[in-house]
This record gives sequence, C-alpha cells and structure tokens, in this order.
Amino acid sequence: MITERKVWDHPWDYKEGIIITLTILLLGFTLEYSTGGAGITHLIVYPNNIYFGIGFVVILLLISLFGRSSPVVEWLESIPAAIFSIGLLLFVSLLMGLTMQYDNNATGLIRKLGLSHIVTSWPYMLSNLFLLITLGLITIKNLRSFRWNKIGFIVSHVGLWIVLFGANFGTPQMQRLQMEVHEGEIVNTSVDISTNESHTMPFAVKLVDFILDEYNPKLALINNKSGKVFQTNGMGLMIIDSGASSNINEWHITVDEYLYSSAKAGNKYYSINEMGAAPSAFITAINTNGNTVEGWISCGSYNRPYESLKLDDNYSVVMLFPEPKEFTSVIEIYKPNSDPIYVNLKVNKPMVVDGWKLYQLSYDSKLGKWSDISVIELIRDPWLPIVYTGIFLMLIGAIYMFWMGTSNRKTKVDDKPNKTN
Amino acid sequence: MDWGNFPVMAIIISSLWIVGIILIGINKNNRWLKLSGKSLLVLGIIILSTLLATLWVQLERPPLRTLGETRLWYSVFLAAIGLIFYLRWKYYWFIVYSFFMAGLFLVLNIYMPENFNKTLMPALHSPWFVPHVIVYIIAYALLGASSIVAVVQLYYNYKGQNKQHNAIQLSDNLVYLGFSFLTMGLLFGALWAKEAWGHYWTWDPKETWAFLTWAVYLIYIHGRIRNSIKVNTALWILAMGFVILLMCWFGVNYLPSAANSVHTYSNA
Ligand code: HEM
Repeated sequence: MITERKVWDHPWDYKEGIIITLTILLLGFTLEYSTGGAGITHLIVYPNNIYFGIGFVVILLLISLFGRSSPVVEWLESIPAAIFSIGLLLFVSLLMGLTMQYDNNATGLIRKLGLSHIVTSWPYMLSNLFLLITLGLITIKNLRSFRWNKIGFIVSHVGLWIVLFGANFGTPQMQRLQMEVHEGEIVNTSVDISTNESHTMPFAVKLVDFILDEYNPKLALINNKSGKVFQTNGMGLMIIDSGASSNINEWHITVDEYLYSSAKAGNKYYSINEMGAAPSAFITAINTNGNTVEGWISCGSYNRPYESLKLDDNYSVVMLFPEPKEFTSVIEIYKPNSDPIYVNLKVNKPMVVDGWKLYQLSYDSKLGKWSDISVIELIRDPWLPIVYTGIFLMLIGAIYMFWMGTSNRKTKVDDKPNKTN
Repeated sequence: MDWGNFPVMAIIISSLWIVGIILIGINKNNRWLKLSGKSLLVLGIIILSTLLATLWVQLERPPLRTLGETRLWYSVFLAAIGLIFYLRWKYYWFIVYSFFMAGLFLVLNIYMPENFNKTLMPALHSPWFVPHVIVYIIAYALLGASSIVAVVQLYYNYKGQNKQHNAIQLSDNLVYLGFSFLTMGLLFGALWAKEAWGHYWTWDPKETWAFLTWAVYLIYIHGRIRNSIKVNTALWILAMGFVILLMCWFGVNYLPSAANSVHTYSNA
C-alpha cells in the first residue's frame, strides 16, 4: 500500500530541504540584523578559531559515530542535503556577486543585513557550516566503509572539506602587513592597513635598489573637443618604436625616431639620462588627402610637460604613459645571528622568511621608474599547508574524474531510456 | 602569418570546415565522403593551431590576453572537441553546432580583432597564466556543448518529439569532463593568486562568478546521481549553468560589484 508521505515524515528529502535551508538563511539574516550588521569578525579571533575548529571536528565525528540511526543524520548524508547545502552557499555567493563588497559607505538595510560585507556575515558563515556538516558527514560515512573503488569520491570530497575547513577556520589567523622602504634605509616595522597597527618583524629589510621595467609607450589619436581616445573595436592604438607605422582613422602614422629617455631643448628632443627624463618620438602623419603633419610628441613625466601634436581640427596625436612590464626590489634581509640574504623581489615571485611571505606590492607611482620607495607586503597564514593539502587532493580528484569520466560512478544512473517528464 | 592576413586565413579555415561538414552530411553511408569530410575538418584545425603558434612567437607572449585572442583558442578547442565527440557519439547535429560556433568565433575576430594590446601587466607574467586560461577554455567549450545538448533536448521534449538521443548521457559525459577541467582551472587560479596577490581566494567578483559557475555544475552532478532529480530539471540546470558561465566570462566587467576587481585587465 502506498500512502502519501507528509512533511517531516521520514525519510526526509526535498520538501524538508527547502524548509531547513530557508530557516538557516533566515536565521543568518536575523542574527546579522540583530547585531546591526556587525558581522562575525570579532567573534572568531585567534585563538577562538582553533577551539571552534577542534570542537567542530569532534562534534562531527561524534555525530557520525553515534548518530547514525538518527533520521536527521541520515538526511544530512543524502543527496538532497548535498544539493541544498551547495545551493545555499551558491545563493549567498550570488548576493555577493551582485552587490558591491567591502563598501564602507553602505548604509541602511544593505549594511544591516550584511550585504556589504558578506564574507564576514552570519548568513555566509552559517551556509559554510551547513556545507561543512553535510560534506563532512557523507565523507566520514564513506571513509568508514572504505573500498578502493571509492577512492575518487573520497579524494575529491575530503579535499574540498579540508579546503573549506582551512579557509573558514584559518582566515582569522591570517596577517597581511605592509612595509614601506626607502632606498638605502633599513626597516623592521610594518603596518596592518586594516587596523593601522604597527608590528615589529623578526627581521629587517634594506632596499638597495628599485627597478621598473616598462614597455614602449603607445600612441593614440584623441578628439580635440571631448579629449577621448579614438578607438574602434580595440584598434587605434599603436606601440611606439623607431620605424613603426600604422593606420589610425584617416591617418597613416610613422614613427621616425623614438627616444627612450629624453629632454626638450629648443624645439627638438635629445637623449639624456637624468631623473624625470621622458620618452619622446618624432612622428609623421599623412592623411588620405595627402596632408602631412610632423612633429614631436612626449608623454612627459612627473617633472616634465607632455607634448601632443595637432593633426587637424578634430584630432591630435598623443603618447600614453608607458605601462610597467616588471618591477623589482633589490633587497637585503637581516636576521639576528645570520648573514644577510640578498634577493630580487618581483611581482609573482614572493619569497619566504621566517614564516612570512614577502611580496612586491607597489612603489611611488608618481615617480614611476625613478621611485626610491618600494612597498612590500608581508603575509603570514599558518593554515596555508592545510588548505594546500586540500587543494592537492582536489586536483587529484579532478584528474581522476577526467580519466574515468562517468564510468567511475559507484552509483550507476539508470541507463534505461528515460520516460520522465 | 600575422593579424594582417588573418581575415584570409579565417576564411580559408571556415571554408574548409563548411565543405567538410557538408561532405559528412550528404550521405551518411558513403565512407569516402565521410572520410574526406573529416580530413578537411582536421586540416582546418591544424591550420588554426599553426596560426596560434605563430601568433605566440610573434607577440612574444601567449596569445591569451585579449578577448580576440581567447576567441581563437575557443575556436580551436571547440572544433577539436566537436570532432572527438562526433567520432565517439556519432551525432551529426553536434558536429554541425560545434563547427558552426568555432567558425563564428573566427569570423567575429575579423570584425573585432581587439589585438592592439601587446603589453602584459606584471601580475600576468607567471607560469600559471597559460595552464590556468587554457584549462578554463577547454572547460568552457565542454560545458557550453553540454548546455546546447540540454537546450536541444528540452526543445524536443517541448515539441513532444520522442527522438531517442540519449541526450542526458551525453550531457553527463560532457559535464564530467568539463567539470574536471573547471575544477583544475579554479585551483590553478587559487594557487596563482597566492603567488601574485598574496591570498588564494579573496571573493573578487571574477572569483565569485567562477565559484557560482562551479557550484551550478556541482549541483547538476549530484542531482544526476541515482536520478535524484528529474531529467528535465537537470537539463534546465545545464541551460542555466551556461548563462552563469557566460556571465562569468564576459559579464563580470559590467557589474557594479566589479568596480575594484583585479581581473578586469582589458581597460588597463
Ligand atoms: C570537489 C567537489 C565535488 C566533486 C567533484 C563531487 C563529485 C561527486 C561524484 C562524482 C559523486 C558520485 C560518486 C559515485 O557515485 O561514485 C559524488 C557523490 C556524492 N557527493 Fe559529491 N562532489 C563534490 C562535492 C560535494 C559536496 C560539496 C557535497 C555536499 C555535501 C557532496 C555530496 C555528495 C554526496 C552526498 C554524494 C553521494 C554519495 C553516496 O551516495 O555515497 N559532494 N560526488
């Protein structure tokens, strides 16, 4: 005899899933609202994050060991629970993807509901916890009845769980500091930008030299009235180099001479090498009617004026500021009782000193390549090895998935032609 | 071979593909027609790959930065995947679709080359750059294909035609493959972000939308286990997934939330 299952009759599936998920979401927003949008940052600070983390794992293990017969646990280990917990995090992230984040000017409901700082809000934390619980329980369950044909499942689920766990419980311990060093100076303090607190580092840094490598500047036509760069479908800019030529709008433009570092004397530019010397170029422009205009252009620098070349009533040729190719801080690192370390710090090539990762962050952009300041970012994230372990497992899981395709599903789908719909 | 004579190359490749598709389609029982058709498709793919390789050498950087350049990769992968899946599953409409799309991307590039930008900002000078983007493009090509399968099947269902395409199995296969690449792309991105920006995940708008895309396909995969959700629902999820994917790829730059994104390079 088949009877209609009522809501909350066991086993639970989608109906209960909707109710549970909405309840969690509502609870999240209510908690956030009742704290006036203060979020959770102040709750989970070191060392609380460690206690919470350990407590969470212990509770999860206990539930998994002793709660097996409970229909609630059974549901948490089910596909509907998986779909709803992924779905909830998806929904919260969607809000994050649609609203401006880290917006300190946000007021009213946006701020009070946590929409301006979702990553540190209650709804976000609860949806992460929900996912950690469902994913954790199903993973432990499968680990307890381990068989080799489950290895793909286990590697990817354990991996994701570890990543989520490490990211959620570890972030409060992450430190991001900035150190500003002038050429020739030795510095051992850095500042936490978010709190303005000053920290003394276990090592000191000396900036020997700051080097900025640039691309050749680009040339563009600008509209004399609106000041806008002429561009059609991304065409209309050319890279300046001696001998280069290109057609832009109705003009054929040739670069007769390009000086990388120059200064103007009289009405001509000459190569020189001193602070603020700017790139310049002598160009010839011929339009379709045969009109020829020629002259010097330069993008100038912090202490030299720029120069453009007027072609006709509508357009002028200008040189854009060169874009940086690479920046390097040549630094020396001093630690007590050891020889100084000499390194070139570049973007994308951080280095590790005493558990701190050093990044080339920025420089005095006004001075550009003559900057004698380098800003170094120092980051410490003790949970990184945990997160990386998870990422590594997930990668293996992804490769396994690529290799096996659908053929490794231990739970085969019904292969019979479907008569659904 | 450079962008200067790209239009000629694009037209040659597209013509090879069109003729190839027609040859395969004329008579499904003629082995020779089919073989020569396939050869033309392969020839087009080889020419396009050579073009990409030449561009790479000429630009002295991987041609992966502008939309125009990524469209070339999309085109080559779409064509290759279309061919491989045709050989495996024998769906003629599938090969028509994938080569039509691949050709469309080529033709788009004649009108919108967006190739002016020879420069690459420092954060992109990384060994992670190429694997990250290529893996993503393969994922997008596979998942895009799965969504088309889904939409076609939804259309058949709507029309009440009982074409037995086993569409859902094909989608499952495409999604499993595509999702594995998507996961790799996401993780490579995280590892790279740690090296370039100091943290593996900052919920930057591009990252947020990448996660959303990933999560939608994750829901599909789990819904398909033991037919937990209706086949029709699964197909709808795929169709929606593609919308979010496109949003992630093209749309993010236009969102208010993207004002401070580290990923909007194109207006550099
Ligand atoms: C890295 C991300 C993930 C991947 C690649 C993945 C993939 C898979 C695959 C392929 C299966 C089918 C396994 C089989 O039948 O052999 C599966 C099962 C399952 N997954 Fe995931 N999954 C992921 C994340 C998650 C998450 C976040 C949850 C949330 C709770 C989850 C819950 C489940 C559940 C409940 C099953 C059914 C297991 C069973 O019946 O024993 N998975 N997953």
